[in-house]
Amino acid sequence: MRYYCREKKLADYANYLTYRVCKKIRICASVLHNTIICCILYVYFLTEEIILADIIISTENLTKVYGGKVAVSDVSLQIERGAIVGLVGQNGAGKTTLIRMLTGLVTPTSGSFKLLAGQKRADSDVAAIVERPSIYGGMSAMDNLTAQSILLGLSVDKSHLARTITLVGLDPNSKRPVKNYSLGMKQRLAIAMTLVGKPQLLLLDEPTNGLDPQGIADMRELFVKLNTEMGVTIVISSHILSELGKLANEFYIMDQGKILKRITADELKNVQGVRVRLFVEDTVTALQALKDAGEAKICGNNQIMLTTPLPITQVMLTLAQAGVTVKNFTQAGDALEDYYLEIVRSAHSNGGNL
Amino acid sequence: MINIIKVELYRIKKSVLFWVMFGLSAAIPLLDILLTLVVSAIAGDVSGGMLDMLGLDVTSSLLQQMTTVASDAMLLSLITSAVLLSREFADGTMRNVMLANKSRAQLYFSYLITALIIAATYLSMFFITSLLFGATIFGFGSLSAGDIISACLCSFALGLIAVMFVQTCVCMFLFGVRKQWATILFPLLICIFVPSIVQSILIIVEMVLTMQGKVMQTGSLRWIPFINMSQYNPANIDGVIVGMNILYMCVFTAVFAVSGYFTFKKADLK
Repeated sequence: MRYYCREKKLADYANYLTYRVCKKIRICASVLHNTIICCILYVYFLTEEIILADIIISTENLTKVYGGKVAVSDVSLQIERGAIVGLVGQNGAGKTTLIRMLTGLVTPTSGSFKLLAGQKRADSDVAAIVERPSIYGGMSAMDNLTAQSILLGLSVDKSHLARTITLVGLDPNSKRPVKNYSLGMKQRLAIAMTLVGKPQLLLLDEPTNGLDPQGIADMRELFVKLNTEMGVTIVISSHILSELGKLANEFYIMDQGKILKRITADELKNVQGVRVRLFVEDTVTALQALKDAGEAKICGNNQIMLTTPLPITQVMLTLAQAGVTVKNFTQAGDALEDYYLEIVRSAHSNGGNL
Repeated sequence: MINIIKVELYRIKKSVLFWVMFGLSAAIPLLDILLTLVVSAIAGDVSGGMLDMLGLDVTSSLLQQMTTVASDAMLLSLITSAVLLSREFADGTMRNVMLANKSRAQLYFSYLITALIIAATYLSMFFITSLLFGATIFGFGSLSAGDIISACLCSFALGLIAVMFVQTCVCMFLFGVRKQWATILFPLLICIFVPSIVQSILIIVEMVLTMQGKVMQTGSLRWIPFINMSQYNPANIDGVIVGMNILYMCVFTAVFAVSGYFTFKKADLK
C-alpha cells in the first residue's frame, strides 16, 4: 500500500514536471513567435518608410474645377527626391494651378497629394514662388529676409542672410524699400526668400520672369548648385523651354489641365536627338554622307540642318571621311520645344488623348 | 502662430502708418483738452467754479468716448489694421505664411490677435493721454478715489470690448472678401453709420410715440445696442448698461469671428 502510494506520488510528480516543462516550452514558443512577427513588421514598415521617403511629391487624381472650367484634371504624379522637374505647358495648361494646390493656396476639388511623404515636415522644408514675388514692399531686402527667418522660426543670422542676398546678385546693405526695385530685382529677392530656410523642396513658377540673360544664367547655375550640392528637389514651371531644357532632368508636359507625357532628359535626347546647323562647301555630298546619321535637309546657302542622336564628333568624322569640309557648325533649335509641340499637336488631333 | 504674430509685429513696427496713427491717438485727446480749455477761457473764468463745473463732465466725456465703436481711437486702429493687414493679401505675402506649413486657423487667429494688439495699443495711448492731461487739468469733480478707479477701469475695459468688436469686423471683411478697399470701407461704415442709423430709428420711434401721446421710457434705451453706450456715464456706472453692452459686443464679435473664419477656411487664395 505504502509502495503503491509512493509510486503514485512519483507518477503525479512526473506528470506535474512534464506539465511545467510543456508550459514553459509553450510560453517560449509564443514569445519567439511574437518576436518574429514584430521583426517582420518592423522591417516592412522601415522599408516602406525608406521607399516613401524617396518620393518627395505624390499626387493622386488631383483635380481642380473653377465654376464649370476644369483647370487641373486627374493629375497623378510622383517626383523623386533630388530631381529637377520641369512643368511644360502653354498658358492655361494648369501648371500654376497645380503648384498652387501643392502649396495649399488652393483647395483641390478632388484627389489628394502628399509632400515629403514619410517624413514630418518642418516649417522651412518647402518654399515656393507662385506667379509673382511675395515680398514686403515697404522694407529693405535684409528686412524681408529677416521677416522670413522669424516666420520660419529660425534664429536671425545676419551674415547668412547677407550671403543669401549676395548669392542672388543683390546688395545686402541697401536700405532701399523693395517696392522701388525692378521686376528682375524683386524676382531675385523672392528667390533669396525661398532659400532662407534651406528647404528640401522648391516649387518655382516662372522664377526667371523679368530677369536679364545674365540673371537667367546665374539663376540656372544657382538651381543646379542647390540640387547637386544640397540635394534640393526643384519643380519649375516655365515658358522658356530652352532654359528648362538645360536645367531639368525630367519633364511633365501639360495641356488643358492634364499631364500628357512624362519624359526624362535622357529619353528626350534619344527621341529627339541633337539638332545641328552645319555650314559646308558641298551640300550634296554632305547630305549623302549623313543619310545614316539622322534627318538632314538643306536649309540655306551651303547650310544643312541635321537632327541626329549621334555625338557631334561622330558626325564630323563621317563628313571628314566623305571629304566634306565643314566651315562652321552651331547647335540649333530646341529638342524640348519640338517634342512638346509634337505631343500637344498629337493630343489635340486625338481629342485630348495620346 | 507665435511666429506669425512676431512677423506681423516686426513688419508693423517698420510701418510709417502705424507710428503716424499712434501719434494721432496721443494728439487727438490732447487737442480735445486744449480746445476745451480755450473755449472755457473765452467763455470766462478759467479757474475756480468754471473748471469745477466742467471738470467731471470733460473727464467723463473723455472716458465715455473711448467706449464707443465710433470713437477716435477705434477709427484710427480700424484704418491702421485694415490697411496693414489687407496689404498682405494685396502683395501676396500671406502666401509666405501658407508655405511655412501654417494652417488657415493659425493664419486667421494670428492676424486677429495682431489687429487686437494694434487697437489695444492705440486705446491705451488714448486712455493714458486723456487721464494724464484731462484728469490733471480738469480733475474728477467730487468723485471719491474708489469711484475714480472704478470709472477708469470700467471705461478701459469697455474700450477693450469695443476694440474686439471693431477688429473682428475688420478681420471678417479681410478674410471674407480679401480686397483692400472692402476691408477698409465696410468696417468704417459699420462703425460710423450703424450707431447713427440706430439713433435715427430711435428718433423716429420717439416721434411716433409722441404723436400717439405716449412717452418713451429713457430706461429702455439701456437695452438697445450701440445706443446704450451713449447712456454710459463713468461717474455713475449703471451695471445694466455695462452688462448689456458687454453681451451685445461679445455676441457680435463671436458672429464676426466665426463667419470670417468659415468663409476663409476653404477659400482659394491668389
